Amino acid sequence: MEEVPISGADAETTAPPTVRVQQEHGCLSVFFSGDWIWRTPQPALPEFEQALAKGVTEVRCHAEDVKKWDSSLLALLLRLRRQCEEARIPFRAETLPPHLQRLLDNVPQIKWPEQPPPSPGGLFRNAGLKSISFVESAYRTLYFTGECAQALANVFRFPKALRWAECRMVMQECGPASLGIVGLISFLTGCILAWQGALQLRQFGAEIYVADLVGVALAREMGPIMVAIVLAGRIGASFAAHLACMEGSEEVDALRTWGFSPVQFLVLPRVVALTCMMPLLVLYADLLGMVGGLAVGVGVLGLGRTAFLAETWQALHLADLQVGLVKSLVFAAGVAGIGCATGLKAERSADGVGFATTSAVVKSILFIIVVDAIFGACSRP
Amino acid sequence: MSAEPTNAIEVRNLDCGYDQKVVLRGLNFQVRDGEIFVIMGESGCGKSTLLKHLIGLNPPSAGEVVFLGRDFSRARGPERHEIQKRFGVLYQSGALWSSLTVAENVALPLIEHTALDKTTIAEMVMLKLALVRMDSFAHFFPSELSGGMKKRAGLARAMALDPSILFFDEPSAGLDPPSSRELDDLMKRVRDTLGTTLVVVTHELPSIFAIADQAMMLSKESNGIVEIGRPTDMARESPHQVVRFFLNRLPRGPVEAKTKYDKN
Repeated sequence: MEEVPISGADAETTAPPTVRVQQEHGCLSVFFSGDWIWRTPQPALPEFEQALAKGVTEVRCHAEDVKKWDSSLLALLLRLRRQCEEARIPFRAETLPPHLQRLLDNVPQIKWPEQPPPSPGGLFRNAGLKSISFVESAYRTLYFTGECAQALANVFRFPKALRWAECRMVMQECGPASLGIVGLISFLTGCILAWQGALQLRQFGAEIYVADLVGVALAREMGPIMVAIVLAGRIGASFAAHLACMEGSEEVDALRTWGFSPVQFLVLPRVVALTCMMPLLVLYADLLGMVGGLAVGVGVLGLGRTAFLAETWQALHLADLQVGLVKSLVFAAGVAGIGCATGLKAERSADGVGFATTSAVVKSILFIIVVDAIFGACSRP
Repeated sequence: MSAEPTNAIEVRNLDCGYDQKVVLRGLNFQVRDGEIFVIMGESGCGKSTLLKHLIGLNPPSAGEVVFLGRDFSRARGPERHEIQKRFGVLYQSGALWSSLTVAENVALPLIEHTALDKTTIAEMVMLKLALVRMDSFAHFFPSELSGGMKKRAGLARAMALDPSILFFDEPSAGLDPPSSRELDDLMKRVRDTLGTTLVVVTHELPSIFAIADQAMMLSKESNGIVEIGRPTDMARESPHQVVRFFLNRLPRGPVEAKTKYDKN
């Protein structure tokens, strides 16, 4: 086989590529032989660069012994030619396979792009940029919250303005479809609370108060927080990814062009659905958590079932449940709102969707913890 | 090893489909080495499904796809990877990896599959980008490029490993006429200078007439190939009305809608 086209290199029969440099009366000859294909590493050419610096007047390349070649040889020849041009030395490619010669002659002049200038740094500049971005983000959040409130007010006036069909679909996803994971996590949280509480209370012989601890902690704190965090990961992230993909495929633009508000169409059903479902899930989580506490109390600590239930009944007040439910409403609106807002402002790329999803979860969890702390600060000790 | 086969691609009794539904049945055709072969047909006739079966994204229900004398549809493991390195694909949207620059997109297959040093890889990347006139945009990210530029960069990436066969999925879709023409010229230049075999899935008539050596018409009604031939000849004297109507851009009356719930 005298030569193969650029694409014809084959893996099975390859001879290692070799190159020999020879200098004679100022003329530098480079002899290529073997198979020059991308499957085999190319030999280095340090003599070439050294020779160029030593007063060579002409460079000639010979490749009659090359059996197989592809664009890796072409790339090497182009590099040698460019180095010669930079050193103002004539470059002649002689005895190349005809197809390679034709390609070398016809390759367009490559414009090597300059590296983009590094972005200016500096503490003050970065601080300024961050501040501007923070203010813009705060403004966008406020604007978005206003839009949501306006859309919600509109629903109170015209209930048909809410897309109930979509709302029901999202409710199914947030509520019944989340029962398994919420139930498991709540049950285990109840078990852990009871176990950890018992370790401390045992020192005072007050193990029965594990029931108080589990009941009150679940109803006021752990129930709403655990459910909100699970739903931030499960539902908030899915809202962000869904809306970011819709933004990327111009579905949101299509809504706007038809005069439909994306907030009314996409955000509100999700916020309403999650806000309706979260309190129910919190009650369910409270119940399952208490069952977990009961299981540890009766099974491990040896407390009486009736005593445990009576103690829980006595310790738990309606106000505890109410605090938990109010928190869950705020968490739900926040998680859904953050998920949707992050999705709607995502960049139209795979990276954008990924970033929006991560950002939605991180912001939601931050929101949950901060709001919970505010609730805690507002309540009487 | 035997001499290089004359047929770059041989498809034998291929059944294509998805979700246990056969869209195209018993396909038999050959693509000769170094020719531009166009797969055409109306929307929904299975052009893209066939392409997915050819490039191995979907396993065939039956039949075989042979690339350069090797059965790709049955190949597994290293043999399959070897064959995969012999063809490149330009996807409809370019499908550039968005977190990498144009140059990094083209370099990635070279870095992962070759033993070449960084300087040679950089040179090969710029060579491929210069061939598609994207060398000035090497440091751009895909999100900074227009649709036509993305396709040109996608073509440079498809050519990274000097493939013997290049597949194009709707290359003209979403391009303005000059860009579409430019891409057609580029495809012909790739074939003429590099000797690559091109398989192009399209229904853009100007492109079909401009580039195709052979064209294959698929049809929903027959669930298979209607005719294979030169597009100019087919437009003039095809015995099949559907081919003549398609290539002469004639309306064929009310379209019969067929849903997935209808029986075949």
